[in-house]
Amino acid sequence: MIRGVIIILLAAMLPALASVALRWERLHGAEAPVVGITYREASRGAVLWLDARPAEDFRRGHVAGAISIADEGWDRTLAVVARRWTPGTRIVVYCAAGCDLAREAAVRLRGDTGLPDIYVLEGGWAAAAGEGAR
Amino acid sequence: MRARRLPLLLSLLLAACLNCAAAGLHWIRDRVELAVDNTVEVVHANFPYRNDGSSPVRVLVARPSCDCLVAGRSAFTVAPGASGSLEVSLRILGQVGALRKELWVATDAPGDVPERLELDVTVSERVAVRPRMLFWTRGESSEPKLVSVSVSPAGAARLVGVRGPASGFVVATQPGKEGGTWQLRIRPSDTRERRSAVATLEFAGVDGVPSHVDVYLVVR
Amino acid sequence: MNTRRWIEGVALVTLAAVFGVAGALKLAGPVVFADAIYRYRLLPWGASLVLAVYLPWLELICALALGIARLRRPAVAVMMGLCVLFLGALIAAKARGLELSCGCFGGAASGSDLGQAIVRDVVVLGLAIAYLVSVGRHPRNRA
Repeated sequence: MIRGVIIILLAAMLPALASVALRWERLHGAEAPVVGITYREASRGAVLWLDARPAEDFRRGHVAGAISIADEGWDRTLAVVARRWTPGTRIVVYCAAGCDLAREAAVRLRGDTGLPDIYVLEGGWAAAAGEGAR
Repeated sequence: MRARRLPLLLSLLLAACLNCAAAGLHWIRDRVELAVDNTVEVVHANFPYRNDGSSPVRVLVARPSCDCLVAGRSAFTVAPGASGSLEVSLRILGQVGALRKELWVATDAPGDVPERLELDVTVSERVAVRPRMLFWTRGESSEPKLVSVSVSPAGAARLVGVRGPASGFVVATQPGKEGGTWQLRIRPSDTRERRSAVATLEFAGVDGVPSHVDVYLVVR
Repeated sequence: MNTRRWIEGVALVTLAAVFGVAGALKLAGPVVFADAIYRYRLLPWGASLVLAVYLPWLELICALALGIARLRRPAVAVMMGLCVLFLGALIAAKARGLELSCGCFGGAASGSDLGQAIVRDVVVLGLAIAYLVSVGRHPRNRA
């Protein structure tokens, strides 16, 4: 039985290695996706909120303590992240709801900082506001 | 013979007049193409229009599906014969390459169909500094970390120096293997205490290239 | 006895179909599958990519091995192990309140929610266990 299991596990490795060799460029260049996080889970620990919406929308309402990327500009946003981030802090980017801007900002932030734990808020500001975040 | 042609001419004239009355809003430009550098965060574009009709036209601008695109006005009225332009602004958050964004507009003219306005922006990356932030955790070994700098095209600018960091960090700069590239090796003198600093990379080059880019250094 | 063999046969065919289809669908898009694994937030990206390349082949090889008498029990044992692994990941995701598709048939294929995926996994695990127990009690030949 054990021998049979080992044979199967090893047999699967051969085509897997061939697959890696054939697709090396694509696999090597693949970037990790930015993962979504719910407002409830994000709020449980230390979090740095980044608001990717237009400045007028930010002024009408935003998650407490959030930084407006539109207001600050990208360079100042980076400076604020550098000042406020500590190990274990999650950085959560949000836009209105179901838009690409938060994801684009999160990807750029990850490329610019290399920080782990950068997320996009699932449901965006609409979801956060629904959970009482103001 | 002239008498026979008269009804035809009158019909054609009437039809032309009716068309004039129904013409309504005409978008002189419904597509704008721009090329910018990725240091630009907001791009502005104008879509000119003219009311060719004989009655005022109310224009409604649909809310764009992307938060990145903002129209200057959401609704406005254009008097007969008047012209103007709709300004839109597009926020670019680090994307490079071809971006296409759409905006739909509609009018209250009978029989009018919504019109699509297109903004095509080509974003080039003249200066790339990656990453823009280096961090070490307290107690971690103070190994140097790398910052890659590249300028495209290679002759557009050169890195002339690094200003700062004030203290606590050591920076070593060396040219890369390819023209227009550099590597910075930066390390903290120690990681016992929290500290942060900024290293400012200074560039000299042609118009449009930023004069400096900040790299943030953090020990937490 | 005939009923027992019939049930074993049904279990084998079902396991072969489930794992064969799952493996084949994931083969086409390893990056998409790695994406789905990564979103469970249990493994770093590199490990997710490695698993995304290896797992589909393992599932396919197991499905094919069911056709070889000597490798039937080991194949079902590996399938059982995979089911336990998937179940653990699904339960952990559900407990943390993650909202994601299970990735059971490739990243984009499944729109099922985690609850349904857990039920499906428990059924497949049950089939594998039932087969091993049945064959264990009534061995036909030594494997």
